[in-house]
Amino acid sequence: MTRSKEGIIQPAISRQPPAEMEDKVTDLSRLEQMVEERTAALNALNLKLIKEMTVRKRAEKALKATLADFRNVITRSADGVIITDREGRILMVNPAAEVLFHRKPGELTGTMFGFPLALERAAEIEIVDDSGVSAIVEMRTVATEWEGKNAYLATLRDITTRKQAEESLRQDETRLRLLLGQMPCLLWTTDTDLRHTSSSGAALADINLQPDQVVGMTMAEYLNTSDPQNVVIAAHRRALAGLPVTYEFFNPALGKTYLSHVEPLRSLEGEINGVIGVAFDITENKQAEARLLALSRRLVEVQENERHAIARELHDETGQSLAISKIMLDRAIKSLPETMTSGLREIQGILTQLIAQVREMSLNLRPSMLDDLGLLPTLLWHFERYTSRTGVQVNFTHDSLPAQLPMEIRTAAFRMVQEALNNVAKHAGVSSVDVRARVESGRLSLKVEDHGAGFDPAAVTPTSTGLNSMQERAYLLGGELMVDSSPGCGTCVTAELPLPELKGEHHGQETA
Amino acid sequence: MDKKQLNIVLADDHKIVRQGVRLLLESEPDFHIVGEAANGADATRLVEQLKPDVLVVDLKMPGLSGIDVAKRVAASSPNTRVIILSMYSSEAYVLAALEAGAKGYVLKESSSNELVQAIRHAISGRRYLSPPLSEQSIKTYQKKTSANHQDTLAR
Repeated sequence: MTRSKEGIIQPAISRQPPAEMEDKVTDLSRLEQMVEERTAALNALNLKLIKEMTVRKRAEKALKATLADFRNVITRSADGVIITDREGRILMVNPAAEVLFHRKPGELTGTMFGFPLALERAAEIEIVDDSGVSAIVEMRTVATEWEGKNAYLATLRDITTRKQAEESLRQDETRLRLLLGQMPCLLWTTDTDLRHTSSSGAALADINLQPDQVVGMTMAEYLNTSDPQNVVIAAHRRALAGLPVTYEFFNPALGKTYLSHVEPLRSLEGEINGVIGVAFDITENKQAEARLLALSRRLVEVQENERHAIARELHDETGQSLAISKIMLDRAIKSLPETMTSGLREIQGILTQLIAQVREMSLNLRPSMLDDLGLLPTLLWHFERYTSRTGVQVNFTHDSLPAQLPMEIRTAAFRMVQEALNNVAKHAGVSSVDVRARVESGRLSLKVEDHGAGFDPAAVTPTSTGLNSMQERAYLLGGELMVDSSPGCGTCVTAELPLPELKGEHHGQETA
Repeated sequence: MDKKQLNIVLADDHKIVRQGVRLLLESEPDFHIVGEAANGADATRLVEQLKPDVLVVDLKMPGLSGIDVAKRVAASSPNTRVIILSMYSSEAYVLAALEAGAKGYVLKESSSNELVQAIRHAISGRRYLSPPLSEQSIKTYQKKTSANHQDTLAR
């Protein structure tokens, strides 16, 4: 600036002409002119100087404002900011950083930072306060200049909450994975091509698979099938179409039966992007069920056979012997004088009663005509007996009953009608009951209907009404028993029994 | 006796019944038991061979029943009258026996002269049913089996 002033003045002095070389007037006017010129030059210079100084002041002001803004930003930043020199001495620290380090304002400035400063990557440091609570801080460091010297700028962000959330999520995932691994079933997901995207569950071990071992494999590859009608693949396709499906599946390669359920797997937007499935190994249940069914069937068979045998024994052996004794006694009485026969006639009466009792016992166990003559004659015989005992009239209709019915169907049908009629006599309080028997589309349908007291089927104990045994008989023959009743509205018991392919003619002779 | 001798074959799987019936029938001077069988197959063979006037046969026997035998005899020895001896008083059995061609249905427990009566009825061309069975009760039963029936029942 000094130089510059001298520079401005210098040309004005150098342009001054020597006084002895001019006359006085000329000299004076020239002097005046010079003064004027110099004054003007000085004015111009001053003006220029003032302008220059204004610009500088403005620049200084702007700089000050920028600096203030910068400090303001740093001071108010939620992230901690620390500037250190190359040795790690703290040159500047913002309040957020002081809070992070649990220090008072100004306390850190001039101290050594203490944490290694790594450039170009984020580092995580742990800060423990006096009470032992730790915070995880993410630190990013860049090289910079501070007050003209090389320095480091470290920004610090408290990520404790984020870390905790991440940790909690990780724990949840581990727990979930453990849980899935413990579930006694197979769990899997597929994409829309039915390619496995995950597989888990404790049942994997039973089929020698590791979790996720089949990932990438399509369902067809996994099942080793090319059949598009395969029950599993068909179920998955329906799930992809949005329908949940429950199905039973026997895997012949594994010799196992599974009860499976598949559902569409949806994205957060609700779009179907795969299938989620779960399968339980029910092989043992199936086997137990089959054993139980076989046992039930055997039990019913044994009971019926036993009744049959006792009924036959009573009727054909005991009954025959009694009958023939009676005939012989009758003959003896005739050959004797009347005065000698009164005691014998008493025995004759006892024999007649005995014969009737034995016949009753036999018929109660099992009517022989069910074997000899078939269902229809047995039902007719039973209705007559039933009416004479209970006073309840039976309105019987029948339609298309084949004369030849398999023995187990005859027995079941007779027993179910017998049981239903017993219930009517015991509980309905009616004077008549409708019974219908007919064959329709390969099924024997039996209906026993009354308009009596009725009952609540849900509230009744099955054993007390014999409904249980009726249900069991129907079930064993692959049929079903339906009970429709409510208090005051009568009862309708319907049994449907599928008939095997009928042999021979309709209504042909049916004998044992 | 100017009565013609009647040849009778007796079939029952119970020996005691055969013995009793034989005693009963032999008290009739013109009845002559020409053969006994313990099952249906033997009875059928015997009748075919002897062509008796009367076959008294038990309804229930192992193998061929009395009803089966009656059917076969109707073909092999049409002049032999068949009397069914039975423990069962149900119309269903009676109807089955009559349809098989039997001329009499006698209950085993009935009085001793009923069987004799039945045989005499049969010989004279009439049917005989042990009381309380009757032609009327059989007709009533027959109606019942075909009631509400779309097709007719075989028996």
